[in-house]
Amino acid sequence: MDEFEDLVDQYYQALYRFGFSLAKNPDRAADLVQQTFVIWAQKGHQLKDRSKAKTWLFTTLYREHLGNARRSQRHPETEISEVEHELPNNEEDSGRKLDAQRAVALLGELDETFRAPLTLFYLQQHSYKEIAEVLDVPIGTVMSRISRGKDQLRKKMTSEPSSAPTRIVDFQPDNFRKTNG
Amino acid sequence: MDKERAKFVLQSFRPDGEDGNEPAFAEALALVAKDRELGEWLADERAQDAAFAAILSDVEIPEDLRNAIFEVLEGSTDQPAEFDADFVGALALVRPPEGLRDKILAAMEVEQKVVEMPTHHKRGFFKTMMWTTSAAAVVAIMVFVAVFFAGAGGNALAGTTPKEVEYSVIAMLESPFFSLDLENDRQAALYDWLNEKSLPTPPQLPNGLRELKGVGCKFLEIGDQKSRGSLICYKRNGKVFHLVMMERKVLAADGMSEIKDAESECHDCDKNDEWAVTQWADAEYTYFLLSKMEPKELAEVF
Repeated sequence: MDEFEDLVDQYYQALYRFGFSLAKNPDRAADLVQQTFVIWAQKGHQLKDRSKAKTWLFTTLYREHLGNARRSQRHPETEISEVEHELPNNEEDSGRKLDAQRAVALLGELDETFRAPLTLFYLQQHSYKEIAEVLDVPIGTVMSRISRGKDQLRKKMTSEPSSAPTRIVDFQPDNFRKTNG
Repeated sequence: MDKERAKFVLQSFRPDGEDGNEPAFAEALALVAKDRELGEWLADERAQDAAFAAILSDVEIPEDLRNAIFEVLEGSTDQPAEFDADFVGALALVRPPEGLRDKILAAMEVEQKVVEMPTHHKRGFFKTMMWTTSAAAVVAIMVFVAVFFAGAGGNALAGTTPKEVEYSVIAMLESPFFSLDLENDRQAALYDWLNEKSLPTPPQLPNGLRELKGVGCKFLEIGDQKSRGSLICYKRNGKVFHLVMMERKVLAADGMSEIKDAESECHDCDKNDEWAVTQWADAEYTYFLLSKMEPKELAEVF
């Protein structure tokens, strides 16, 4: 397996989840992932330290997202629908899949400032130092945003029982799954 | 470290324990070992984080995404040949509108008057065409100079970004009417000439440029303030490196890095058609180094 294919297999899923949380739209998330790898194909060879490939990919996707966001502010397209309407909605969706949708939706409801660091934190692929590198902010800022982002996330979970069917009062994994299973 | 600080730090501790050996968490974890309540808090925090992380990992990935990534890349390398061929064929069928040639000639005539072409000599059509074409090119260069190197307003370049300067320098270098003021293969001779004219010379050069042969140099006048800049050209392995120096105050140079970071800038730089470009600044001047090569080759001069 060549390096590129290996890289795609290692990271495309995490990149998609990150992109989904940022763009709040599955098609745009897929576009972001594709664009990220196109840029890698064009410029990846310039990266001397190959161990930085992961950070490079997430940084690139994040920058592409920011660029798209800036462009869409200048040239607004149609109103972005609520994320739940745009998510795949198969009849056979299990409760677990619904949870994932709700998780992304909740992340999408967070302030933009917290969404990216918190998503990267929950994807568990990056240390807080790497998150700082990806987002190009100081380490202390990342810690602060993760902390405040978690507060905001949990408040949303507990204050919106109707929109958060999981009713995660204590947010214990067992309770969570039972509620939705 | 107090308990609140420990909680703050440990909120960035990944639930899968990947950060267990990270020194930044050591002090907070040591506190956890001594404080039962803090220990319970951390267990709860990690459980919540793990639950959310697990749920997030269930986000469905589009089935065709992996293939789509490879298809996009194949498309970007394979398709163009066929696509281009179709396009070339289609474009070949496009006919210019009738009268276009006359309109071009009429426009050139107007331009000729603008640049006050002497009219008392009769010229053949070919000579006139040559002259007007040259005049048009001169006008183009003058516009370029006006905007970027001679400046139209008192502070015309203050908001100009390094990227815009980069494009303009490339346009200047690629102009068929571009020429050097002095051609000499000795760097010292180039610097002497620039010094004589009170033009800037680089106080520090990237290592790889120091011993190179010179090609030549040129006086650049920048902005309405007539700030004085220099272009110095060097040669290595048949490739020419162009170094443009201009006063820092004439453009928005806040984001520009120092020479020690120019190599990494170079790796990040966008290749502008055939040109690789990097840039840096010191307290007084901004520097743009350009060459027709891959960015990694340009990085080798640092």
